[in-house]
Amino acid sequence: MRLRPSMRENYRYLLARINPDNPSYDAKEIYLAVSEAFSSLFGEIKSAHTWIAVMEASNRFVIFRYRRGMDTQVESAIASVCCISGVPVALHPLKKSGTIRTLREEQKKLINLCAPSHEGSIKRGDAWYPAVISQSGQIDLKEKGINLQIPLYITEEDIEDLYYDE
Amino acid sequence: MPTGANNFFLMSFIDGCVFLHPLGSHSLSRCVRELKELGFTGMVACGSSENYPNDTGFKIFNARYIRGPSQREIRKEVQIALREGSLSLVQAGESSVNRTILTTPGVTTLCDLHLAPKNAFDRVCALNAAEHQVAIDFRVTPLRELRGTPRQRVIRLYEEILHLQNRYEFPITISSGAVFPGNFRSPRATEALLSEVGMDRDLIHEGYKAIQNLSHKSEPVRVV
Repeated sequence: MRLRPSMRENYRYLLARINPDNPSYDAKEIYLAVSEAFSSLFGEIKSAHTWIAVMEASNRFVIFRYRRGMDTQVESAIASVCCISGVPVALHPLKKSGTIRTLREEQKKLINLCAPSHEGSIKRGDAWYPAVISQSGQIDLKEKGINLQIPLYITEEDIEDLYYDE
Repeated sequence: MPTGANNFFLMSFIDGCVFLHPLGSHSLSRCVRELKELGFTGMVACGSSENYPNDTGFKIFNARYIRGPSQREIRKEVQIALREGSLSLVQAGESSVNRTILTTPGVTTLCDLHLAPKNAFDRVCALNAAEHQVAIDFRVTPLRELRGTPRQRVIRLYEEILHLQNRYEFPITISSGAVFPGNFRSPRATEALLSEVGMDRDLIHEGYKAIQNLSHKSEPVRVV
């Protein structure tokens, strides 16, 4: 149904960051995860009333759209998302705005600050372990085939040497 | 006197319980980095006694997570924590166990009430917590991870504790109980989630800074 602009609903937009940042998720997968979290927390009626939608999902950032006045509920639903299509993740709400354009500008600034991560290997003790190394210094060891006596999520301060894959 | 938005930047946000390696799967430095990024100003670190250079103003409180099979074991662990100068976080049990824990000198926080049996935290426990200034921990993990009836049960439990807190005014703490970086949530997101459960925003802010007062209380008596 097409409505006159004055009769349309007022929307709010929310920018969120996905952590960990290595896999890129589909907008539909993110929508399904958030929608499930919202309806399990607030019920179907409020969920339908909120009209939550994923407008953009790229470069570790997601922009959500929802009905004005539902800010706290949407933030709490986003906070309660634990996994997207079976992969454990956290969605961190960052900024809210009345226009999507403002959030796109904010997103550009944040993308410039966040450097991409690379595959590589790190030395800890006597052994080398495969890992995902972000340029901000965070290192996620790959769980497969390593000794679990060491922490999987570390920083550059915890290791002795590192090597980036070509 | 700072007001409004300025006040927000002066607030302290301390995560009430983070499990480091070997209890969790992240290192101390990684935890500090993740929490700082999210806007926290400190944390209670369980499971590691390594020191972190405290030049950035991020407060780290070492703690012992105690879950003893018997009250004697718990008392022994609390004494060790007191000697180490660290906080002692004791896992809740049955009602009678909780009453003993809350009257044990040196206990800082009673946590994991969502794992305890039904009616484990009653009016007497609330009174003891208020008298001995033992904090009751609100863990965000079950609100985030559970779905359906189990989560409803946790929400109901937290409502009951809040009702008792309103009457007896015992201290509370808010913790993520994170075992890997994906478990962390920003103070803003946690505040949104807890306010939906029925927690007052002022109480949430109090909960975030309560550890500072409790840590002074747990320091052992020294001869001067």
